[in-house]
Amino acid sequence: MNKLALPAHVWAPPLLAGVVLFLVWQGAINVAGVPPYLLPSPAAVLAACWREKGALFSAAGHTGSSALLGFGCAVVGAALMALLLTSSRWVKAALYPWVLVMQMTPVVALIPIFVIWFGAGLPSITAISFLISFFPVVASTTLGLVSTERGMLDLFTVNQATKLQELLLLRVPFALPYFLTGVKIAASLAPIGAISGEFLAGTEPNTLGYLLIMFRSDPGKMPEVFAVALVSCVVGFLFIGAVQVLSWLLLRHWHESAVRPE
Amino acid sequence: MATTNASGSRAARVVLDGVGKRFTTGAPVLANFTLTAEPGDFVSLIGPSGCGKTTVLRLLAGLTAPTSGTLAIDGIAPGASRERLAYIFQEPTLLPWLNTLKNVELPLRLRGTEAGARTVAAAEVLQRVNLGHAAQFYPRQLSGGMKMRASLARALTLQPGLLLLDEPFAALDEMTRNRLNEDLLRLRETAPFTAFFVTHSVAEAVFLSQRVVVLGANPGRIIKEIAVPFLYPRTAALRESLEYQQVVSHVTAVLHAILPSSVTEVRR
Repeated sequence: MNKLALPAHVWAPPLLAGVVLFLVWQGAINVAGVPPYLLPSPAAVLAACWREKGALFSAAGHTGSSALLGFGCAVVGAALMALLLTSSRWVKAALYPWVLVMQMTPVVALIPIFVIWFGAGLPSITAISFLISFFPVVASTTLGLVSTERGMLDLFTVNQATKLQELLLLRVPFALPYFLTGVKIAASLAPIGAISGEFLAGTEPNTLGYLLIMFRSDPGKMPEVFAVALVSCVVGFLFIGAVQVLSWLLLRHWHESAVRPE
Repeated sequence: MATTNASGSRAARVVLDGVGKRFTTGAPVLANFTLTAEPGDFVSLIGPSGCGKTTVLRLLAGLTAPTSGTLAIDGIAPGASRERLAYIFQEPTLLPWLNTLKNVELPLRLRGTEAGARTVAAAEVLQRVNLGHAAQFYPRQLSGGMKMRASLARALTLQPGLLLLDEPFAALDEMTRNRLNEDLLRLRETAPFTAFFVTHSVAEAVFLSQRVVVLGANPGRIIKEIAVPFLYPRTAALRESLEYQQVVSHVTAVLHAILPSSVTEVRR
């Protein structure tokens, strides 16, 4: 278990910076007199978390589920899409520019359209999470699938590899780190997509986006707004943390990004 | 030297007859290249960069097609006869996600050899290149010399009749390179193959081969073929001998005589 223990130079600096930030925050309220409807004290935020723990927990669960469903479908769909795009030069030439155009479209601009299509509920939220997660994975996986080293391809040709062997034993594993990079970006975007969707569609109760709308309309509920932000942060952290662990498990033996420096 | 090994595999006979190759741009890479290697021959190709040395190997592996002339490996055209062909690249080209043993198994795996048999074969070859202890290591854990040994082992699992080597030891330090040269010759004693060895090092070419073929550039063509008279098995002691030094000097002189023509070489 010793290998998992982080050395002091890893955990001490961020902890110190966090304590300083906390003191500055509290100081802004006690010394500079920033009013609580602009900046609630850390203690007030924690108190709000406790007061609303039931609603926050349930909302985090709903928002997290929508984000996870959209994200999961996006990762699988994007991987298949990348395989399709790289299966033939013509398919890629025809479709890839459109994939990029879709990626450049800010997804929030599509929220009203989804609400009209799917209604204001869960399907819309999931669709937004899906779309926002989809393109980073397609783009990075496609790049990975076409980046296979020339020498390795020659090696497979000389050894009479079939196209299927070349794909499964060479191109796919070679693209794995690229794919995981896309998945990491998607994991950070999926909860953003879900919360923005809930916030903008504004009708799905019991979600983080809906709690934001509710609490911000009451000036006395500023600590609750902060509490929702804090819980959103935790949801995002869980998404990215899970992908980081998965990535480490898959790459730990061979990829520089997963190898701990000695 | 025997041209048949224990399992009955034979070294290949290689014929290049009037082979020419142009790039798609039309620039000639090779012109009228004619060379025959008898089974068990060790042929080195040496010359200025851009003289088409690597192209000869790629043609023999069927990775590229000639524009004119014919090639035959045991009478069969390259590409149709890769069953017992091994190619050692300039880079070790080990797959970083496979450990050394699995990397060495790869040629057998791609040819559909059953898992147990190929593991046995790969482990045996790893022992022969002194990498038995590194079977479970991943490529990033290997030194440059060990990576090349693994690459050599991977080529030998096939018991190739024809071994193509494209400057395999160029990136290694001289000590390691000399060791690997000696190992390569030692392996050749038990697993006969015909070898085409591309190098920039005259000393390496003379130490390894029976025939040193000096190529000129623009277009790539054979300038001179020099026979190396030393008998196999050769050992490190050969490098100390006066005769060896004389052959090295001779090849170097031939190479220097053609260098002016390389000034105008086309960058590939």
